[in-house]
Amino acid sequence: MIRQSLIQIFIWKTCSDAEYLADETLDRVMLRVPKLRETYKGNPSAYIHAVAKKLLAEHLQLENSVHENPRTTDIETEKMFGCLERCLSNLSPYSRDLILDYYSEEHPKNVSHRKDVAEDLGISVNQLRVRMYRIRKTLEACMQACMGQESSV
Amino acid sequence: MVQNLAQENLIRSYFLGELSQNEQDEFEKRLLADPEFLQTSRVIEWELLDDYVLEALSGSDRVNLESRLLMSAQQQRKVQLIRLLRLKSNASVFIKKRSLFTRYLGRILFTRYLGRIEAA
Repeated sequence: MIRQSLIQIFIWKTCSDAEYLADETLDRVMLRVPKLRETYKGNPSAYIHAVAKKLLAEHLQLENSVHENPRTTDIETEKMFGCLERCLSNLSPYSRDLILDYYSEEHPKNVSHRKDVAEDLGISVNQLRVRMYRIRKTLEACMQACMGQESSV
Repeated sequence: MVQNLAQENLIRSYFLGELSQNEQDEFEKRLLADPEFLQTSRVIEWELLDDYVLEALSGSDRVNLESRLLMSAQQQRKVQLIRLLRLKSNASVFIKKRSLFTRYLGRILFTRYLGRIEAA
């Protein structure tokens, strides 16, 4: 769980190698555990965060704090579209209809978008948010796997 | 999962880079300790990206998002996925409408055809 949280934090900090950084953080923490057991008092997550923050500073220094804004090429977009078709067909008909309806231009393009979709479906906005999150998560995992297969072909 | 408006605003502020360094640190410590908070943050992240693609964000929020969250390849892929989902969704709606129209037109022509037969 902590590893997943660390990976997510590094991703949100726009690090390209989030998994490596999360593992490196945990390795550094583990090395200090015998000593920490005797001396450290307080919330362990605060210590882990401090180690992660230090590592991030080192990482950014190495990367010279320059991030290139990645753009997807037409070929990648084409591959993604193929994968999207495949991944949508793996969803249940309900989930597929729900996500396609959610992104339909027939709903208003503003903050009331989610409210409008929820009203159409006869569910609460919170229920819609949770369902959408689960579907996107499934779709994202499928897309990652599919794009990985496509690029190795 | 997502219920607290103040908490949601805090999460949005984190993604938009509106928190002080101390607030960011506290936020990230909570992400490490609280799985539900992490999940709520992921929900809000997707919704922010939705709002970005739907052009429902203010100009400054757009700029903030582009200069922070959208600097990573992973987030760019999410944005691209949302764009493709919109394309796919609108194509499906078009096909559905076209097939309804064709069916409607077919029905009218058939009724006229029957009318002619009856008249003859």
